[in-house]
Amino acid sequence: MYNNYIINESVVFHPTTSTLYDCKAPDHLIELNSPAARCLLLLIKRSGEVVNQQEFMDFVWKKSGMTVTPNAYYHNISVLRKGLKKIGLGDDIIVTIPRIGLTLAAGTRIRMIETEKSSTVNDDAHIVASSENKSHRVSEKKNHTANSNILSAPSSHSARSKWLLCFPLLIVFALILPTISVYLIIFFSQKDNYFSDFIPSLSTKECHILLSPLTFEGDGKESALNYAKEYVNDCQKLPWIYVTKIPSLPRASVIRCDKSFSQSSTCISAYFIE
Amino acid sequence: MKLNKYSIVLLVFLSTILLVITAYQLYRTKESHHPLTCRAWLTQVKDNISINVLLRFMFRDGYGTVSMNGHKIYQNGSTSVISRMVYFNFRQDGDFYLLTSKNIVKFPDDNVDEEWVGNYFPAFYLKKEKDLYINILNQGDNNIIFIDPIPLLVCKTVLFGQ
Repeated sequence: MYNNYIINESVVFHPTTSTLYDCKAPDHLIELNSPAARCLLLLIKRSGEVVNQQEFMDFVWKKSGMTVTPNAYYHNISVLRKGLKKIGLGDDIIVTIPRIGLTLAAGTRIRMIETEKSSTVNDDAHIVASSENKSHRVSEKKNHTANSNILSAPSSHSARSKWLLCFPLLIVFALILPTISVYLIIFFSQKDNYFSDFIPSLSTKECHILLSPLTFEGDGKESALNYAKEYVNDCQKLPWIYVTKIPSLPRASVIRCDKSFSQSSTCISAYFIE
Repeated sequence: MKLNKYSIVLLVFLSTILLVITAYQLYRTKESHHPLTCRAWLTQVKDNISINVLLRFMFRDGYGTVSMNGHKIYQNGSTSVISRMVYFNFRQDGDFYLLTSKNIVKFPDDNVDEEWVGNYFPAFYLKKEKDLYINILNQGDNNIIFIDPIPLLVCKTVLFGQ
């Protein structure tokens, strides 16, 4: 659980991410560097009071074991002012009290919201600070409606980030799904080749003779093998021989290929008329 | 799994390549039907006399050609030449084709006896307005089988100009 702050009901400050969001334009965010964000955090925590340079140095750097020159302090206050100006709060929200320190401008409204994880809202506490009356009033009450509106900025940002991540994945799926579909269509539309059910009947070192299943009716097999044997001497070139001889039909077919039919590049057909 | 920007770009790139290859495959699958051109070597044998021809079929939308080039070998070793082109129209019903010859162009070297050829080949190759029913099976991988009613020939698809 950590605290976020709403400044003047228009800007959300996330100390953990050092970012400022515009409530009205969630896309508009300013990233501060860590020391500048911690300077703002200190000003908010000490809202209504003047914070001197040494207190900044202690809170922002010394607590982390770092020692820096005053230049670093001035530089980071400058960065902070620019950030606040860019997000629309104006650079006069931080007021310099000469020779004393800095404070938030009079009338600056700070509301604290306690947030669990990224965007879950449990309770909120209102801190209304006014430099005019120097009072610091903290009230705790449930106000989910207000919270949900105000937290819409980071939620929306998170949703946008997720969308940005998901979009290319959607493109990938949009490309892959049609591809898979097309391959499935091609795969299932492919028929077995015509000779796939031909039966190997005689294999020698060089020849593979396969006969049509229709050939096995009657004495077709013997007759079919006779047709095939005419080409045995040519088996070095065309070793795969597919023979069809239907006993009742005075025709015979001998197809010779350089490889098995599905892989063949050359086939020569012979058609016998009896 | 956490995908970084580069992984996603790579995935999109590879998916696009895959899609292009698939589209090409699909194009080839479609292309293998019509129009098509194929080439087949056929030996017709009857009474111990064989006639060897190279057939080149070309099918377009409803019409086509078949060129027939070869020779007849007599038992005494002498030969006759067959060299002609048949122009035809065709109708298709699934794998069944009805081809009707529209014109026969014999080239000058075609000196084979027509009556004799008629014993080996259907009238489709000899005269106009003759029908030829044939079952043509596309076998993928560029092979087409003509069935009549047993395998007559295996025709290899070729690119134009080959």
